Amino acid sequence: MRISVRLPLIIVGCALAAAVGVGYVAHQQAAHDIRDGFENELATVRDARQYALKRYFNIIREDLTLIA
Amino acid sequence: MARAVVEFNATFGAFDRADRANFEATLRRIYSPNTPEGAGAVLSHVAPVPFGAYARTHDSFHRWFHLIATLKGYHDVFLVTPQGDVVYTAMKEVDFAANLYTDAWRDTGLAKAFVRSLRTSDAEPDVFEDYDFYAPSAGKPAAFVARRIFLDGRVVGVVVMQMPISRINAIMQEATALGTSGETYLIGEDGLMRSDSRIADESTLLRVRIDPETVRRGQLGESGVRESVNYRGEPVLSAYAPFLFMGVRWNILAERNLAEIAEPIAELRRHAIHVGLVAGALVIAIGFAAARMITAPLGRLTRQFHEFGTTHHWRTSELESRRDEIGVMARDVAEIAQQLDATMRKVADNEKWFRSLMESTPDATLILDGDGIIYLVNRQCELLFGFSKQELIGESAETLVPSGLRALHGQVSTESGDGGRLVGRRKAGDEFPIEISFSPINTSEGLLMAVSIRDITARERAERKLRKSRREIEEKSALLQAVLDSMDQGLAAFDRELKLVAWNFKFLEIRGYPLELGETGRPFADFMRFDISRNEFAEHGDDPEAVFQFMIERARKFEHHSFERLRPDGRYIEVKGGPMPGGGFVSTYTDVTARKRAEIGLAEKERQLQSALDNMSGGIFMVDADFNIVLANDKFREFYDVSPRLIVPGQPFRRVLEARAKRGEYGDGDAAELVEARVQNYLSDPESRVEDTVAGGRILEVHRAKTSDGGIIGIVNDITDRKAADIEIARHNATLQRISDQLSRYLSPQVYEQIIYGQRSVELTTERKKLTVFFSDIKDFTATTDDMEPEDLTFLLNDYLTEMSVIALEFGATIDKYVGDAMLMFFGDPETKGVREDALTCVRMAVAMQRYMVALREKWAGMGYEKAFHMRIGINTGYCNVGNFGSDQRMDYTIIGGEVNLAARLESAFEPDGVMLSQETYLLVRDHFKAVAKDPIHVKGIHREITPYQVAGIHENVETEDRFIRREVEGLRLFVDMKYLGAQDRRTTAEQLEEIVRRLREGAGKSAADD
Repeated sequence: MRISVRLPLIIVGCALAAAVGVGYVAHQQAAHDIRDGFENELATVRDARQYALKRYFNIIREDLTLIA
Repeated sequence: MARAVVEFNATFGAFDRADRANFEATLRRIYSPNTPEGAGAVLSHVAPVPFGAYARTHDSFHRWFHLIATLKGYHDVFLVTPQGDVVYTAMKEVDFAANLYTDAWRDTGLAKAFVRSLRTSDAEPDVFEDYDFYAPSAGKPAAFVARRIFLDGRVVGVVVMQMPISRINAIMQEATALGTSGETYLIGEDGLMRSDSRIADESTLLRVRIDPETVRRGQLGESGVRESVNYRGEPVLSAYAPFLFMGVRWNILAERNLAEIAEPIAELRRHAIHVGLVAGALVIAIGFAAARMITAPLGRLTRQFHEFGTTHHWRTSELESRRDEIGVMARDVAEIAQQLDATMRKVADNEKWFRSLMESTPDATLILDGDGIIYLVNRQCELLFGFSKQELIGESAETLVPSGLRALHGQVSTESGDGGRLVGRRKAGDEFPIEISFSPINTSEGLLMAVSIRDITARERAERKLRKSRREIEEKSALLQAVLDSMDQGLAAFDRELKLVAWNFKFLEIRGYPLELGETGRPFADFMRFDISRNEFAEHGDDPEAVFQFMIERARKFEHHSFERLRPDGRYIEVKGGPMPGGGFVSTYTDVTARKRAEIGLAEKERQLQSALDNMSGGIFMVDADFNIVLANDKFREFYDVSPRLIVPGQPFRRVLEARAKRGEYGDGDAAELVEARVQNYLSDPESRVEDTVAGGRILEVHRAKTSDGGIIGIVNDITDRKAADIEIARHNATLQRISDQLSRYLSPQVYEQIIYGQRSVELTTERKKLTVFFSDIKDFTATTDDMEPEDLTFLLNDYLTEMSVIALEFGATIDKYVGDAMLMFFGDPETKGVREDALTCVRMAVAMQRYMVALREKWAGMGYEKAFHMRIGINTGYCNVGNFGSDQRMDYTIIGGEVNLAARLESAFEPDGVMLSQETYLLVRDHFKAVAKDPIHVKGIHREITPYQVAGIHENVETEDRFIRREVEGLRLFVDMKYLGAQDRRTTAEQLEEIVRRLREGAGKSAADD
């Protein structure tokens, strides 16, 4: 293969390979981060609901105290 | 509150318990939630008597309880007495005024919360009864919380609050941060949801069961986030955690569909791809642009160089003026091109020189590359193989050399050498032998191989012819050598230079030469010196050098020669030979030792034979097939008294006969005829014994015999004296024969023969043998013969004894003696067939004698002797002494012993015409003869009692025998002895008997007629 073909191919190939590699790793990391974000978000929501329920049941307990 | 409970309980309990059902029904009707004023809104003024007290209490507290329930969001508030009576409810549903122990709601969450509350401790006074479908509230899910009410330390009731699901749903259905698919809900220990889904169209409370793994983890107190499948079957990301309240263990879950979670990731990916594509396009464009900055000038430089390769002219370009590396390269390439141009010119010159050198070689020459492909050929190659250069260049060398060259090329690629003989193939396809040589050429393009090929067809043909000639010569030489080696004779040929050119081992063996001398080219002088060194030619003188010169000079004459010579080792050799064409001589050597010794031996034997012949007492002569004398000894000449001149080997024997004829020894007549008759007698009867009477009356006995070569040999003895002796001997023999015949009559034939033939010695010797003794006599012999004339007595006695002796000899008995009329015979000596067979033969003989006595008596009666003899026979078997008894001058061969006496006693003790046997004899013959035991007798000299046996049936079956025919009736006595009737007598007897028969028949017929 002629150098006039081979050299551009090498340069372009290396650049594309680097870009694809970096892009892939970045995508993987971003996807993972998004997933973590969702997990954290869900855990936060879970905890918020837990707190709200506890609060609700404490009010009930207070109501019992009040009525009894 | 305690007061309210007490009052409610008081008013509620004021009613007759028997009318309780009516009371409760009335309360429910009054406080029906369907009243226009609302649930529990009935006031005391509308309450019928007797419910006034309760109504007033109710009015006092209802508003407050209703307010609490409304404000706090409880579905209902209950006051329950310790007895289980629901004395107050805010909502007055069907559970109002019921008893939680006995009524229909005793299994509801309300009753359970009430019961559990009564059992609580002070440390945990509150009770939470988990959600369940609550029938009094139209089956809606309801949970209850309860606490005991104390008054003065005493439980006066329980307050219960019914928790609606709406408040919990409000908390759990909050959608913040949950997107479209996310939701939170509660799960009970039974895995069923304790809150309604915000997404589901229908209530999920207590109806939907959640992933048990998540429930299990929550039950274990774990909290976390995991992927699972939600109640709708969708994959979700689920955050879970336990929730504990008043002894109840719930799980709280926050879920979001994975599909929704994946959406931003997918969006991110799409975005990244878009950005990547754009960036990639930019990179490609920039990359190509950057690469072109390098490749474009390189391409131009390459084209420029290529043009130089075509035109051999370097065209200067602007590249050389560039200041970067391209410019440096272009300038260097320009310089290299110019140097290359100069080098190529030089190479072109070298190639021209090389090609002319190739063309000038006489052999076909090829240049091959490393793969055996023809790179260059010369004109001779074209001529030799018929291919043009264009056809060969680029082709494999195997086109010209079908096999071998490639392998050869691979093996010797780095060395020059000789490829040896191979086969070349022309364009026309014919093959021919070639010889190749090769030389490697190391070039910058790799290793080349210069191959020189030469057609060796003519040379091979010449070589083949030469090999064939050589092979023929070798075969002939081998044949000649084989012939020479197979000869019994030694042979040696020397050329004109007197050098050995042909020989065989027999030559060395006969001449006694060592093997080292046996080589072609060996000078004759070497053989002579070897011979002289062992004194081989002593007969030619004592001076070795003189003898050597003599032998050499004689050999150089190359003359015919033939002689025999005695070698020092005692062997004779015969040497024959003559000159060879072109000079030299050949000699054969034969070991004739055996022949010579045989000749000498033969001559000696001839001398000895002649001496022996001459000293023989008889004469001998031999003639050949031509009737010529071969030999004759002196005695022959003496017997026939002929001249020695006539008795010479080779002379006709006829002359001897003629000399005798002339002397008249053949009688009167013509001598020639007499001789001819004599010759014919010899020839017709060559093997015979004749007596020849010669002059002087001497008798010659001539034994003639035929020889193997057709001649005749004759032995002549003078038998004149022997003839006289023979006559005398014959006379003596006749006398002796006569005496012998006379003597034999006095002896038993067996004894006689044994004495005559020397089998028995005539001396006084006896031996003890077991014999069968026969004793017989004539009963009343004396009385019978008393008045007989002596001649008649002699005749009868001799006839009797003769006939009996004949019978005895026929049976082989040994006749011991005759004593008057008595006969003593025995079996068992000198010959025996065994004791049993001897006894059997003796008894058979006795029976034959008695039978024959009948015939004898008939014969004697026919002769007129009226008083016939009757024979008595006794036979015994036992041990006797047998042999010669008497003195040296007079001896008798006989037997003695008690057993003999017993035989005599047996015959004398009984009646005649019988045969008496002793018991011993009977036991031996009883299988063949019947015998009747007689009364025992005592015999003098024998102590034991003797039982005699008389042979029975002696005359039975006589008629059946061939010899006798005997009939005897009154008026007829017929006896015929066939033995004494010859053929003629039998015919005469038959005619006489037929005549008798005829007359008897006539007589019989006449008697019948008379009757």
